[in-house]
Amino acid sequence: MQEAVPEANKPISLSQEVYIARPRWVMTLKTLVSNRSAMLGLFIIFFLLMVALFADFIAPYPYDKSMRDTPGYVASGGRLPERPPCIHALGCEDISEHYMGLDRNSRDQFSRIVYGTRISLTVGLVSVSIAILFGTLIGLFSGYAGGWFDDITMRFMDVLLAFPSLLLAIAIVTLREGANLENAMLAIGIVSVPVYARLVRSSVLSLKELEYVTAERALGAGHLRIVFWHILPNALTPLIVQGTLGIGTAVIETAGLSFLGVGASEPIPEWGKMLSDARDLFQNAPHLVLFPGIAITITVLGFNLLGDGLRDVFDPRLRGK
Amino acid sequence: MSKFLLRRLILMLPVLFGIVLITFVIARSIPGEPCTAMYGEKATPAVCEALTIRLGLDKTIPEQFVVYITNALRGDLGESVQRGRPVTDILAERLPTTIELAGIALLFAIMFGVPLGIVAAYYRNSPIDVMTMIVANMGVSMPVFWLALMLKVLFSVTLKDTFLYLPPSGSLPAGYQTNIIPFYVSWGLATKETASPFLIFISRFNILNGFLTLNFDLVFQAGRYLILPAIAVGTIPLAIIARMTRSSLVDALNQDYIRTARAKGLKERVIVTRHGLRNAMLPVITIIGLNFGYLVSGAVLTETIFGLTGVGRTLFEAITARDYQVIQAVTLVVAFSFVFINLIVDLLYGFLDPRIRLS
Repeated sequence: MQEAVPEANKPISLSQEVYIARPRWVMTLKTLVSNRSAMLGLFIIFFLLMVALFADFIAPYPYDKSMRDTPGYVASGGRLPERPPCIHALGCEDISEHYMGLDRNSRDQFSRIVYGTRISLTVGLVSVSIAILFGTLIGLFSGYAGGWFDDITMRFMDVLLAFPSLLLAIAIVTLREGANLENAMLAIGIVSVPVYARLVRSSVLSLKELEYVTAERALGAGHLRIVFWHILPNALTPLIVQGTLGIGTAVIETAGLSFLGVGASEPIPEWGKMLSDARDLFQNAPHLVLFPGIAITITVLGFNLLGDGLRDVFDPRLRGK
Repeated sequence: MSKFLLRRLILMLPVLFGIVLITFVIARSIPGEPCTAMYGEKATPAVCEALTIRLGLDKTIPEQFVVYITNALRGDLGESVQRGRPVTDILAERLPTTIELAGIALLFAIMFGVPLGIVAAYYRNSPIDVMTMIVANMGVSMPVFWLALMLKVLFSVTLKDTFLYLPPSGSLPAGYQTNIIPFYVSWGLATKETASPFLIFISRFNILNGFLTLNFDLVFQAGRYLILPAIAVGTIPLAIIARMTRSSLVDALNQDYIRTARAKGLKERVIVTRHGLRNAMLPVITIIGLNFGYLVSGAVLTETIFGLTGVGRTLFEAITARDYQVIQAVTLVVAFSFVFINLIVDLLYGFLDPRIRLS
């Protein structure tokens, strides 16, 4: 990344970097703060993190509690369990109502959505961590070793990339005997390994030819030390960008798996599962379709905005555009 | 060009072999017996043994693989355990629905995505640009099945009594199927009994068949049923295409040759389309090719919502029923098409950019 600066930057910005003798990360942080979409993304993610952390205080009911026996439900005359929500902003006065209505098992949908934030954030982080861990290792060694090892690994990655990720994820979940959230996370992690492997490999290919690596080798550093100590830190930037975008993808894909019935199982309040449960109620209870979808969209949007913003910040060619 | 093509084809072989191997391994490792999945409580040891021998599951795994490959090369992808029919027949029946859905979705995505990107790039940093990019960002962040359900709520429930009403599920009105005359009959190529499998396959594309027989009511009806699924499946590609077009065109419009074109006094329209867009299209075409994955996943997730009997739905049913041969065949077909679509994209590259062709 750094070696591209003299070519890509115009003389003006180069002299700026010379004048302002501040550490690189301060510069990066400044650019990040001035990037509106990144800030919006960061704000959304912060908001979601807060919701996830304090779900116990925000959610008025437990996510698996049926409201059938509560006074409010009985007072309403035992209407359809999936009755439309009472939206306070539109002048609803009944406080005992549920913000987003009840689902088909008479559970408070608002509480389920709030707890669902925990599930989705966990799923996103865990599956991306799996993907980054294995992808980085494969990419590092494949790129550093080169030769037949590199050829075989990369052909294998090409083959994996030839499958639409959802199909492969479904297959992996089926292999793992039993549809549950853990297997879904694992499947989505495995499916995105090739993306990270190729990303890291391409960084390694250019990094390992640089003088400082040759110098290290001349000083007698071992391969492992060179790979982890000198090459990996310089290959991190694209990983961070891709990882952020990857969390969004992972959230959407988990929801997809759950929607198809090979992800989360009852009573876990996973948003895709909630949509799947409501799919045949779309005529009578559209609110059961509306809210989980909005929750997924906002979450994914947050990570996408931050990821795009980070890419703009880290890519010097895009600066000032 | 032919040398370029040949080299690309040879490079593809290991990938294709890998795909066959992986689909084979995955299908064989799915836990659970196909016998119990198929016969349920009626699965007596005798029945199961007969089935195992019939499917060749008693042979060793490498032997099974060799048999599988030789058969596949002859166009025989095995027999569906669940349905008791050749897999190729099932695919021939259901592929047209999915291809038509994916094709219309892609058309929708390109028709709206590219112009949106152009407008955003031309008026960059204006409110139009910001709005377009907000919409595009929302588009990539939405789960396709949610969009599908919301479209159903909007067009089939809320707008039920207006002219905007669109049917929530199915591919044709009830009873309409029997009135369809296949194009080969109306052209006098063959009768329904004597038609070759290829002709039958082509005639299963309802919209295409409608055009070929000048039956525009069929085109209209089939189209009406495909609009909602196509919008649902096409929205993510649309957003991706719009973003790519924008960023790539912004780059192109900053180049020196655009300034030269302006200095020559060319019309803005000519500058943008002929000088800007033509140079900006390469990354856009790559992205269109890579969107194939989204189209397929979209089809898997939405076909059940819209009651379409396509390949996506078939695959899902096959996985629940542990129907090895079908799972294998569908993943194989999908992955192969992905590889070939990328080949076409590469060839288009060479066509659009002489520099790539020559190198």
